[in-house]
Amino acid sequence: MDNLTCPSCGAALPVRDPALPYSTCAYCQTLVRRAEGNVEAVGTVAVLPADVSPIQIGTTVSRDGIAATVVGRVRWGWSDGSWNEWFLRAADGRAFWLGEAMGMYMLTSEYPAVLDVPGIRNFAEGNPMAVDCTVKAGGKWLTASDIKEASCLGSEGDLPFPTLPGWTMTNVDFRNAAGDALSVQRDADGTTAWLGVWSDLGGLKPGNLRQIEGWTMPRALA
Amino acid sequence: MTEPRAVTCPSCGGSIEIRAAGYTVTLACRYCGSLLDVANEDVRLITAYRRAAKNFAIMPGARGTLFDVEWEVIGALRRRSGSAVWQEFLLFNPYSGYRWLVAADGEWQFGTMLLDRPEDDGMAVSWRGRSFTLEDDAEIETTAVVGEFYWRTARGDTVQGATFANGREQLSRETSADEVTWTQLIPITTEWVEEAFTVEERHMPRAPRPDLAEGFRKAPGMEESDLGFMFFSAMIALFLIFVVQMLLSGPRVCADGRATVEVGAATSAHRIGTIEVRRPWQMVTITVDSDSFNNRWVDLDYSLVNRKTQQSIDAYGIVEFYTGTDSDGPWSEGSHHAETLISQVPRGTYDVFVDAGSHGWPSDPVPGSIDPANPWGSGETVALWFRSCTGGFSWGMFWLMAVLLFSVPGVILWWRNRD
Amino acid sequence: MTKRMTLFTAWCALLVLMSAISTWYGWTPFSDEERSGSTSGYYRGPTHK
Repeated sequence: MDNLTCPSCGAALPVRDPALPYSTCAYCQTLVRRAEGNVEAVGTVAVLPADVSPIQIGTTVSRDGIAATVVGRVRWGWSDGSWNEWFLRAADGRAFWLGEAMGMYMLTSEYPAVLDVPGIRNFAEGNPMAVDCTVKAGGKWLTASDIKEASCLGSEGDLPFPTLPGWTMTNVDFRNAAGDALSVQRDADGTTAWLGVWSDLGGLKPGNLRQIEGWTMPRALA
Repeated sequence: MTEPRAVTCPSCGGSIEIRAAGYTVTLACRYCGSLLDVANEDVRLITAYRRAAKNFAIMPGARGTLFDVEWEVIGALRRRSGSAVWQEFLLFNPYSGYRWLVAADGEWQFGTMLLDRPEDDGMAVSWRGRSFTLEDDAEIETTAVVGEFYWRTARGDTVQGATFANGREQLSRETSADEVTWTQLIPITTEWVEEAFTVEERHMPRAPRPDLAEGFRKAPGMEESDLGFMFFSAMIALFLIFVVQMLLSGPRVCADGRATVEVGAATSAHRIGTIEVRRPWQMVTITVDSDSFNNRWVDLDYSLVNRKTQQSIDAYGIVEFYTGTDSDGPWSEGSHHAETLISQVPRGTYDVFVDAGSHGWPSDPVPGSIDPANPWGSGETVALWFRSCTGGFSWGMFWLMAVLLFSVPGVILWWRNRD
Repeated sequence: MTKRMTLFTAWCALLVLMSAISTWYGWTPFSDEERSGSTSGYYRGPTHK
């Protein structure tokens, strides 16, 4: 697909993942919806607050031998803090979310089967999720440990949903003793479920990490 | 977006650079100690303080290399559990995340938060195929904070902290209202830490002084707070009370006397000695020993009669001894010895009199009947030997004090273990 | 030292002082000037059951 230009400022709008409908202009923060070659400005995204995340658009992580590349990021804020979620697309077309919190990472891929579990279907229908709700996903038992109401603080790159100010979602993190992770997110577009693992950065075998000023990249990650 | 984030302290106006921008939620101003909420773009003052916490072994801002990774100390906490105090330092590297350095008892530990959870089986946990046994489970209080943290923290925060050990490696579990975190702690030599960071030796939490209390404090269940120390203080106080009562009740001067009473007869009066109270007020103790009667009691009405004023102070005593047999077998009750304590006797010389009357149980012996044990006696008698002394030790007082002293830690202990 | 510990130490000191004062005045609430029990002088016998 040809590179597009921002309908607001005219800057080049690189298409990192043509399957994703939304893209944020890196120059004027305009949120652009792409559909069938057309581009349409749908609003302005908040400027991302400064952070020292080692991930950037273009960073690769490797899982089960498949390399996935970061194509976008959304930053979520809740009552007691904020975190990044990076959207990744693998060569085989699979999508991943890489959640970043407390210097740890949660790499998950879409796992829609779990949406049929009664507890989660109930949540998807708009009901609250019970803490300690336990579900089986991918042969593993996981327990809801963390429920957050989050609102969008900003975005960059290509994403599957509009990240305008006021876009909110409810996120439920499930985990277990083995370090598996299940994240269920409910927003205006519906509910999605993502299954994966908790890891430190080294465990993701990352490439093309961001060079953070004042820090040398550890040799093992460079 | 790559410039480090700097905020202005709303309390003192100082400019503070946020080192872990994007992660940091709480910041304790390094100039004034005020606690700031930096979770969002607008900095919010949580609690204003006038003075920043000082005297940490390592101050935030220090950088050093441990295990081949460069770390920046971004936050420091002083924490306490019972009588133990220690310091914790939050290390940060944007590529490697967070780690902990813990300084306690002059030793260091390096901590890594666990992503997988140890499996709990009561007094021990298993983690990655190894078993760790419970060492300690007590409330931990944060007493001072400086620097930045990725969670909401404040002075006075408390969590329940349990430590599980396998050799020198530990797993620490901290349980707060909304989460449980597990941290692996491994020992790290002081040399390594000092090579990496500038350590202010004089601000290191000191190893506890070895003292008598130590053994008691480390008794099972005692280490979790100041309880052990409380029991120890109560013990010391009770000992002091004992010594004080012993020393202040004197001087002790005694007089001996003897009396014989007939069983079943009317009471008879006997003078059993003269004593002199030389202090303004003193206690007087009268002890009595009898010969070995059975199934009898002797009522003793004592009078201390002041020689000068003829005023009398009365007190009572009894010796009684019974035996019998019932469905549980033979039993006996009572003693051939009794002690009577008279309080607040004013200065003066006193004649000690006793009105003694003895009776049998369940009834008095029939007069004139022949006692097989004493066939030639003119009637059964009980012999009594008295000793009247100035001064005395009130065991009632002593035990009352013991109850008042030990009930405080006792109630706390009960409260803590009431489930 | 915790606040609780300071308070408790003060409590211990108070009790030691009180026991010293009461001993000095020869006073105790547990003296035998009164006959104990309700059976005053008349029927006595074992309380064994």
